[in-house]
Formats: sequence, C-alpha cells, structure tokens
Amino acid sequence: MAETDPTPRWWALALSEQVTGKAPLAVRCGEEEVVLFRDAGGVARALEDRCPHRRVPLSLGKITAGGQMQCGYHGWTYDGATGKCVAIPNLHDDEKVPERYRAETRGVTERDGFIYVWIGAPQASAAPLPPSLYTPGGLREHRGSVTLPLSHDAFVAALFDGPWVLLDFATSRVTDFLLGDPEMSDGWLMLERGATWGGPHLPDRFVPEWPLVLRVTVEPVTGETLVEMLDTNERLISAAEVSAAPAARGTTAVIWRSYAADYGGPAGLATRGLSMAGRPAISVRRFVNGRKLASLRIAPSHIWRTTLRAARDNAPAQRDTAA
Amino acid sequence: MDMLETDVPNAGRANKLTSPVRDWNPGSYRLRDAWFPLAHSESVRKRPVKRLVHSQPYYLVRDAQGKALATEFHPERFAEQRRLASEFTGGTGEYPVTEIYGYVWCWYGDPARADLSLIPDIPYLPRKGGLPGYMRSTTRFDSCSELSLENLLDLTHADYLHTYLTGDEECDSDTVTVEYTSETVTMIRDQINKKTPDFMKKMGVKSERLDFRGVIHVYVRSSVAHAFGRFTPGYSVPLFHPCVPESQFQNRLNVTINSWDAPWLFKHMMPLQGYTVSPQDNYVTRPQNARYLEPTDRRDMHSRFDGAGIRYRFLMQQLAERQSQGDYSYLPDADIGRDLTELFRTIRVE
Ligand code: FES
Ligand SMILES: [Fe+2]
Repeated sequence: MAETDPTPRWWALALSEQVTGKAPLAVRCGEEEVVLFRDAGGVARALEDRCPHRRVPLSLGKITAGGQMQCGYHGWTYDGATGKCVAIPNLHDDEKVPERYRAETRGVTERDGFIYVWIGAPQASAAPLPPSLYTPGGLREHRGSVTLPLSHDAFVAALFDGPWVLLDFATSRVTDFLLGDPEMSDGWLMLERGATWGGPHLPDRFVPEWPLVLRVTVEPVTGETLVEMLDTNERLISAAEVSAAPAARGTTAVIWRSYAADYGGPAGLATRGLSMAGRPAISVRRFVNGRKLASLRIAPSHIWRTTLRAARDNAPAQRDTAA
Repeated sequence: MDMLETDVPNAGRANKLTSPVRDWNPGSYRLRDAWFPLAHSESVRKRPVKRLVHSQPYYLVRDAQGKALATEFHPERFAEQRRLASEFTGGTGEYPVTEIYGYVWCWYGDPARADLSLIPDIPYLPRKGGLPGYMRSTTRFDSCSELSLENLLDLTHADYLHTYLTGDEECDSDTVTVEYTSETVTMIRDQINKKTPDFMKKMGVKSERLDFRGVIHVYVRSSVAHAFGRFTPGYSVPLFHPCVPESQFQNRLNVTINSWDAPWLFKHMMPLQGYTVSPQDNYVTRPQNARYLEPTDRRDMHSRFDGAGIRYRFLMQQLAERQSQGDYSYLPDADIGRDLTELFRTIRVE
C-alpha cells in the first residue's frame, strides 16, 4: 500500500456483516493481502492471505467447525489469533506440527460496523484506533461496498473537490460553493460546502444563501471520511461513514454505512421515508463518471496534499522519537 | 526439525539433497533438448495449428503424404520468413518432429541433438496411436507447467481436493516411495483397504473397500508425466499427462486415458473426470502462479508429504544450473526411454 503514506495505520477494510464464520473474505490494502474471518467465538481474525506451505490464498479455503482457517489446497489449518498451524491432514497422531509453522497474523479490531486491520508495521506497535466520529442512528442503516476504477489518491481528492461525483444524496444537492478552506483538527481535515434540497432549483450562481451544509471530515492518510448533511443550524439530517482502500490495479475498494437522522419538516420526513423504503440518504455511487471526475477543479484537495506532504516529511523524525 | 532433509526418501542416492532448495521460481527455467507431445495426432491436419513451447512457436501441419511437419513460421509465410529462423530449428525453420503413441512430438533445443531414444515409453498407449476420441482431451491450466507438476506429484491434495474420484486418506496402510534419477521423479503410493471412492461405486465397483496403487512418473526436463492408477478390485486408470510449458503463465495438457481393462461405461466416464478435476487443480495453481514470479526470501514450508515435490524442485534447479553453463547432456542414469511395464505393473498395449 502506502502510495499515500508509509505510516502504519488502522484501515477499515470490511463491513462487519461481510466477515463471518462461514466463508473467509479476501481484502487488500495496496500490496497487503489479508483474509478476514470470525473464529468460533465470533471474534474477527485477520491473517496474511497467503498459505506458508505453497502460497495459495487462504481465502480460497474454508473455516473449520472450530473457527480456524483451513487452506483449500492441502488442508493446513491455522489459528486466527496466533497464526499457528494447528493441523496438517494425514499426519499421524504422534506427529506434531513444528512450532515455527505459522501464517502471519494481522491486527484486527471492530467498531461501528467496520472491521479495521492494522497495516504497515508489526501488530505489536499497533496504536489505538482513532476516536469514532460515526455513530449509527436513525431507523434504518444502509451499507454497501464497491470497487471503483480510480486510484485511492484520486478518490480522496474528489471527496474534497467534488463529493457529488462519488456520492449520491437522495433528497439534496451538493454545490461547489465552499464554506472556507479545509481545517485540521485532531488529525482530521474538515471541509464544508453549500447544499440545497433536491428538486427544481435556480442555477447556483443566483442563490445567495444555502439552506444546507455538506461537511466532510477526512482522515488524510486512509481517506476514511465522515459525511454529514446539516442544516444551517448544524442539525443533522443524514450521515455516512465512507472508507476507501487502495485495491488491485489502481482501483479503490470502498465500503460505507449511512442513515437518515431524526430530522423534522417535510424534507426531513421525505429523507427518512425514502430511507425506510430502501433508498439511502447518502450512498457511494456504483459508477463514477470519468468526465465529471476529470473536470473537477483542483481546490481544497490542494490543502489536503500539502497536509499529507508535511505529515510525511515529519514521519521519520516521529518514528525516531518513538523508537 | 528440518523437514526438508528428513523427508526426502532415498536421499542417499545419485544426488544427495544436502542444502535446502533455494528460491523456487517455477516458470523461469525453460529447459532444453527434449521432446514435447505438442498435439494429439488427430489435431494435426492440412490446416496448420499453432502450439508453443516456452513461448517458442510451432506450426503443425500435414503434408500431402500425411506426414506431420513442424515449422517456426506459418506455412503461408514460410518462404519469406525463413531467413529469421532461430537456433531451435538450426536456421532451417523446421523442427525435428516425430509421431508416436497418438501424439505429434516436437523437439525443443538444438536440432542436432534430437534423438528418438529420448521419447518416453508409454506402455498403455498403442505406438501407432488411433485410440477413440473419447479417451483424449485437452485442458489448459493458468499456471506454468512446474506448478501443475508439483500438483500432480503432491500426495495429500488429492485426498482433499479430489475426494470424489480418489477417495479420502483413511485406509489400513498408506506407503509412499519416491525414486528419482537426474531426469525423473517417481512417486508410488500404495493404499491398502481404503474406502471405495464414490466415483468407483457409481462405476459399479461393489466392494466397500479396495486397494489403490498410484504411480506418478515425471520427466523433469520436458514436463511430461504419467499418472498410472489401479484400483483392486476395479480397473486401471492409466493417464498420460504431459504438461506442455507454453508460457510462464500457462501450460497445456494433452491427455489420453486408456482404461483398456475396464467395462464400457468406466472407459467412457473416466476421461470425462478431467473436466471436474482440472478446474479443482486450476483453482489453486492459478493464484499460485503470480506468487512465484518474483524472487523472495520467504521459503515455502514443507511437510513430509512433499518429498516428491521437493525432489522435483531440486532436479529442476540442478538441470537449470547445468543448462545455464551450457551442459544440455543427459547423464548416464537418465534412461529416458526405459521400459515402464514393470513400474506400472502392466502389460504393453498394442
Ligand atoms: S498450500 Fe495451503 S495447505 Fe498447501
Ligand atoms: Fe490434482
């Protein structure tokens, strides 16, 4: 991974529902391939998606009744917590699997419906998860996952420069009218722009005031983003958590969850009604319009890049002090 | 414990396995000077068909007399392109070619060293060919031939991946012996009193238990292999299994299965099993391929069931080493054409 930043971090790589004790799930973050599954206790486990025997992806195998990962080629079986190879089929009862036979484990934790995997350096050095910004609410939560044919870098840049190219809003419309520059707070970059309720509208340049505000709060390295649609009194109308990871061949794997908040008035009611009926208030588009993406002007993403660069330049020094 | 050394049976013979197998890069070896069964005889007609050995092109065609020819260029462009002919045809544009056992065999290497005694014995196929079409099939694997052969030489995956056909591992005794020369690896598995595999039951084998003897015999240089199985009671399953190394990412299997001693149904059904078994193998060897392309410091881990496969890797690397120094010769122990009736405990089919 780490075309963006070599700093180790927690990456949200799957939705909680995608990780089960029934079938393993292959995910990746850049060059890091990981298999996710749940053990017998329902705890999410992560191993390098590579069997140390003959390098077959473990995700092609199955999860045993005991909640361990069994490779699909020769049936070597690994414990999710320790990575230890606990069984090689056909061995006699008195034969033991050597202690050093292990698959590599990856740090894994779960919060707010997302599975986070520690990517970048040994798990031993794993930092705590950054604080949660998203708290599921509303009457119905929606979720989805999609792989988009643009780079992770381009995806995050578009969250700043033109979120409407990536996101779909059921009852509102986002404009290019910026309400300031991105601001850094606690390691997250926050940006607001004007928005209106959907339906017929005047051309943007004739609108002096925006009834709504779209706020995106972005973790600069991973691109994990809280998306909030607010009214001008900062009352929440809908929210989404969007997480993206660099996937194979320059694509980006995106997962998201969203809900319509308990917001009054006919428009709020419509938003919640649609959500109940199956139309998420906010969702990630299944297809990205390349022409629209290409024509976005470079604006707040410039500040994101500057921030990233500064963080990267400081990173070695930070690591030295840590060590 | 070092499973590598302890687990290669017969390690005291011709070339002792003294150091761990170094980094294994299947697909990169391109060994020369061997015959490759590039096509079933029936596939070669008046219209040229193209085949590959390590990406080197072979156009196969029959002349007016029905004789098979193999050229480096399409026959229609032969005259104009002949001057581009490579060392593989000695500058002539035409490869050494011969036809036997129902295959068109072509030489990959220095044409001056093409020697018919280097064609392996196939006692269960008639020398003149002509077996019925249902016994033949062609499968493509999305991996280099080395990974497919490791798969074939590998003992435990069949119990696990192909249970329907071969049954599980449970039996009274299960002995495996690995033999080798500088050019071949042989794995013999004897299973006594194992549960009759489902497929055999469907094919009318009544008894609940049977004995199985499987012999895998691999010619390292050419990727040609035999897989000779016999179920008792039951029938023989002689499988000619040449993995033609077309490229680093693909090999072609021109299979013939001649269960000559089996009843009609079995004889017909057995060759069809390849269509279920091959995808099962491809399911694992396909994703394997990319993971062996780049050199790495991370060594594969082995179990004692990998003896034959490790031996294969080792012989492959030894041959590659010798060839990189310009030595393409066969050592005296090679005996590529040796009579295999005894190894397979079979008669010779005419
Ligand atoms: S490759 Fe996983 S068990 Fe052999
Ligand atoms: Fe197989």
